[in-house]
Order: sequence, then C-alpha cells, then structure tokens
Amino acid sequence: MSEPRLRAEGLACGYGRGLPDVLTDVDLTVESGEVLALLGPNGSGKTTLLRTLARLLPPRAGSVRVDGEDAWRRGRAWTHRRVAIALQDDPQGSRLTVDEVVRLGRAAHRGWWLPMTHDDGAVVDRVLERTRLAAMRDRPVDRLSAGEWQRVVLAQALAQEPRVLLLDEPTAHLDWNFQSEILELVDHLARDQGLAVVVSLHDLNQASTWADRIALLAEGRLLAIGEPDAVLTADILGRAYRCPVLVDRHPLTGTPMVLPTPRTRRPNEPVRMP
Amino acid sequence: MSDRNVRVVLLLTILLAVGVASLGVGAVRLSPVEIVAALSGRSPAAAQHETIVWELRLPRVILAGLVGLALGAAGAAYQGLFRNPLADPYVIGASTGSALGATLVIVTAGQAGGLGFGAVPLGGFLGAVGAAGLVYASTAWWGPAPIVSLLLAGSAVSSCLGAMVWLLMVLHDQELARIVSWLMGSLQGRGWPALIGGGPYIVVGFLGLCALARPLDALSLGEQPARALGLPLKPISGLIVAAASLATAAAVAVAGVIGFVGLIAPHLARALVGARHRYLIPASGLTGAILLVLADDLARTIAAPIELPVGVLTAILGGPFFLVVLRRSVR
Ligand SMILES: Nc1ncnc2c1ncn2[C@@H]1O[C@H](COP(=O)(O)OP(=O)(O)OP(=O)(O)O)[C@@H](O)[C@H]1O
Ligand SMILES: [Mg+2]
Repeated sequence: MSEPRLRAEGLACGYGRGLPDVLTDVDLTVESGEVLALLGPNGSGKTTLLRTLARLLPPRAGSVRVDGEDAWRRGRAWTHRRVAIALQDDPQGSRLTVDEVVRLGRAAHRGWWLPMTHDDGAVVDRVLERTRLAAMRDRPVDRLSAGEWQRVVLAQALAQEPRVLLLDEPTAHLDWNFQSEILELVDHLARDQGLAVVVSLHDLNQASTWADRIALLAEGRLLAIGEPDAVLTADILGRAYRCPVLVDRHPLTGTPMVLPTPRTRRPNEPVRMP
Repeated sequence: MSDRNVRVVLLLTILLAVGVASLGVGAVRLSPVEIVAALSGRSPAAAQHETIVWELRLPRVILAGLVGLALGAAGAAYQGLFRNPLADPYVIGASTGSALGATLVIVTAGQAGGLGFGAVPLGGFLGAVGAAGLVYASTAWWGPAPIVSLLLAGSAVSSCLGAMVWLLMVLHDQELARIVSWLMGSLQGRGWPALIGGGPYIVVGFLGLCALARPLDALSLGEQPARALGLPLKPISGLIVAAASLATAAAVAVAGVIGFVGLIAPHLARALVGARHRYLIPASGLTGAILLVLADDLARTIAAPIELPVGVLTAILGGPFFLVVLRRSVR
C-alpha cells in the first residue's frame, strides 16, 4: 500500500523549554487530492499544528512524514520543495511589490542564490492570474487591504508548486465573494492537481461545504477527525466549543449546517424551537 | 535591459562624473581639461598638477567613493535585516563597535607609523560584528520590537562602546590626537596605502551583500515568513551581519566614524529603484558613494583653508534627515 502524502504520527507540539505541550498524540493523514479542514476554538493549537507540519516548529514527539519520508530527517530544503504554508503574518511594512513577494515563493526550488529563470516567471504569472492579483502586481504590499494581502500570501505559497498546501485561516479577512472564490480555488487545486490541503477555518459551515474531512482540535488533542457528518454533531461541537449549537442540513447539498443558538435571551422573548 | 538596471547604471555614471569633477576641487582648482591632462600624464602646465591629482586627490576621491559605497550598502542591508527604516551602521552601533575594535588594535599593536591597515580592519570587523550581533540578538530576544526599541538598543550599545573608546584614549594619551582626528571621520591625507589596505575588504563586503539580495527580500517580510519560504534563518542572518559589518569595519578603519550616509543613501535609492534588494543594495552603495564624494568636496572647500572632518559635516547634515524619517516611520 502506498504512503499517504502527509502523515503525522503521535505528534506532540509545543513552544520553548518549560512550557506545556499545546497538542499531544496527534495522528492524521492527508491523501493527495484531499482537503482536510482544521477546526477548533481560539488557542486550541491550529496554527501550532500547521507550523509543526510545515517543519517550522520541531515536534516534541512523533514525526511528520511526507510521501513516507520523515521531514525532519530529510531536511529543510527537501521539505520546502514539497510543503508550502501560508501564515497569517502581516507584511511588516515591507515595500516589496505583490509581484516581488510572490516571486520569492520560487526560492523553494531555485534556491537563494541562483537567478530566476523564464519558467519561474511563467509560474508567477499563472499564480497571479489564478488569485486575481495580476492587475495589482506592481502595488507595494504595505498598501494592500488585509484581504488583498491574504491572497498574496496564498499566491506565494502556490508559487512554490507544493504537493502539500497548509493554509492558516485563509478566509479570515476576505469578503463573502472572495471567501468562496479562495475555497473554490483550493478545492480545484486539490481535485485537478492532486494537492493535499490542510486548511484551518473558523467557519464550521465553510468546513462542512468544502472539506473532505474535518479535524477538530480541543482540550490539547485531536478531539475528533472524520467526514463532516461524523464530526459536526451537536454533541462533539458542544464539547469542543463549550456552547450550545444546532446542527441541521443544508437544503441543497445535504451537508451538515451549524447554527448558533443564543445562550441568553431577553426575558420577554418567546422561545421557538424547531 | 530593465528599467531599474538602467537606473543603477545611471547612478554609476553620475558617480564617475562627480568623481572626475571632484579631482578639480580644492586649494588648487583644476578645470576638466587640466584634470584629463594630469590624469593622462601629459600635463602641459606642470608636474605639480600631476602630483596633486595622482598623489592627493585621486586616492582621496576613490576612498570617499568606496567608504560611501560600504556605508550605503551596509545601511540598506541593516535596514532590511532589522526591518527598520532608521537602521544604519552608525545608529545600530556597528560603527562604534568597529571604532572600539580598531582603537584596541592601534593602542596595543600599533606604534606603527600611519594606521596599520592590516590588523586594524580585522579588529574593527570583530567590533562591528560584536555590536551588530548584540543589537540583533537583543531585538530577536524581545521578539518583534517597535522601531524605537532598536534605536534605544543601538544607542545603549553605542554609548557603552564609545565610553570604552574614550577610556582607551585616556589610558594611552600619547595616541590621543591621532585617535581623535581619526574618530571624527575624515578622508584627509589617507592616500594610496589606506585605499590598498581597506579597499579589498569593502569590495568583498559589498559583493557579499549583493549576493544576499534574495534572503534580504524574504527577511523584509519578517523572520517567520522567511523561514516558511525555506530560508535557513540563523546562518543567513549571520552572513548578512558579517558582510555588512565587514564593509562597515573597513570603512571605519580607513576613514573613522562617518554617520548618516548609511541612513540617507538607502532612502534615496529606494525612491529610485524600489525595495527589491537586487537593485537596492547596488543603488544604495552608489548613492552613498556619490553623497560622500560630494560631502568630502564640501568638507575641503567650505571653510578653506581649514578642512572640516567630513564625519562632522555628515552628522550636521544627516541629523535633520534622521528626524524626518523618524517622524514618518513612528507616525
Ligand atoms: N510563540 C509562542 N510561544 C509560546 N506559546 C505560544 C506561541 N504561539 C502560540 N502559543 C500558545 O499555543 C497555544 C495554541 O496557539 P495557536 O496559535 O496554535 O492557536 P490557534 O488554534 O491557532 O488559535 P486562533 O484560533 O486564535 O488562531 C495557545 O495557548 C498559545 O498561547
Ligand atoms: Mg491561529
């Protein structure tokens, strides 16, 4: 049997000496062509897990395997040719242009010293087109809106032409239209190009709509992992987020749909239950 | 050729023109025709012109250009590495560190006539790496630091190391006058020995920084994003500090502490060629060279027959510029 594209085995993640583990015993696999959504309350370790999978944070226990090979053994350059991560950091006042920032993604393949080739330029052009950034390629990134910057970060990760794409809340600052557009693009990349995608999200319904499987982090571990139907239940969600939720079905797609239920009401308001 | 390459070549052309014109500036004024005649060795006027141009002015102008090149390129690199528009070799303490290292060499090793150009840049290099490394480590330790805290760290390191320089001078008062005049930053009377002794270090440092352009681009987005692109953070930042400090130390060894050129040049260059370091590093170096050649022209004519130390002049002119940039960046 062939190895999954990405596999975490007995993974424990955390920061610095003396600090407790953020996550322990994380086992998961992501196949080529699959989208795994990462859910969990604030501080549950979504970003931490993504950084560990991207070989930016050394695991405290366990291993991260890409195509069956241990990422920490194979080294930095080897991993970054296969795994790209789009983080949430802001542009730090950099005066580089959109084009120049996206072009840096090619360093994963071209290295830090050799000049870029014609092929690199072609990849950058294609990626800018797909993320609808071509029109603003010469704008300095410190003058972009938060949503525009988020697309630049995604474009940079795509310019790495990875096999595994890790996205940390790629829809956080996007408007309604671009949220769907980005997730459609991610879906498309997984289906057509066989990328393995792990994407952290806060919107449970987005996860339900776009993910093949969902991993739910809470209580310092992987609380649940599986298809949306199995993970997005009132029981599991109530436990993870410590608030009551109502789970229904999407009228068109039949996927689970999560509705918030207010914990407090004004005294005279009638309570209507479906 | 791309538009920005054209602009870098334009800067080089301006530098050459300014350099040649500067050969005529000084107590004896020479016209362009006389300069060319003296350079080609067929001066009809006198051998005197040839001596002035070849022995005094040519090495001095080239030295001014090289020192400006070093400071401008190092300034651009420090600004990129620290992600801080106010960083430059002087502000972050690398120049003072370099002065301390060099002074140590002078007072311990060097009763040698003139500055011993072999060991002095080495001492300066270690001092510059130490100071820049200290400031870099302290900001890395604090995490992402606001713009002013780098300045505070730089000024703390600077005044501490500066005080050590004063201490050395008090302890070795026989060297006092020489060290003081050198510390003030001047290109007077350095001649070919300084050029041959310090020039190669500057060229190596400058070329090193040019080669580090792509890592500097990545670092301008922050350390974590740079690592996410696969940049080996520690070794590469070490290389950047080393190359910038080598250029700074060589500049300090031959010309003393000259402030603000490394701050101003990258800002002018950025307006001309943008932020990508592939163009910014060479353009900042060339701009620094032009600025320092012009400043040195001014230093040797403005109060003639007295020559001002060029470092004093750049500090007087650079201070207000610093305040303008500070106001724009902490707005
Ligand atoms: N650099 C760090 N050093 C020490 N602890 C950290 C660091 N970054 C995060 N943590 C801690 O690790 C835990 C998980 O943080 P993480 O950022 O992974 O959460 P998250 O699930 O991404 O949250 P959010 O939904 O707010 O983005 C938190 O308790 C946080 O305080
Ligand atoms: Mg997070």
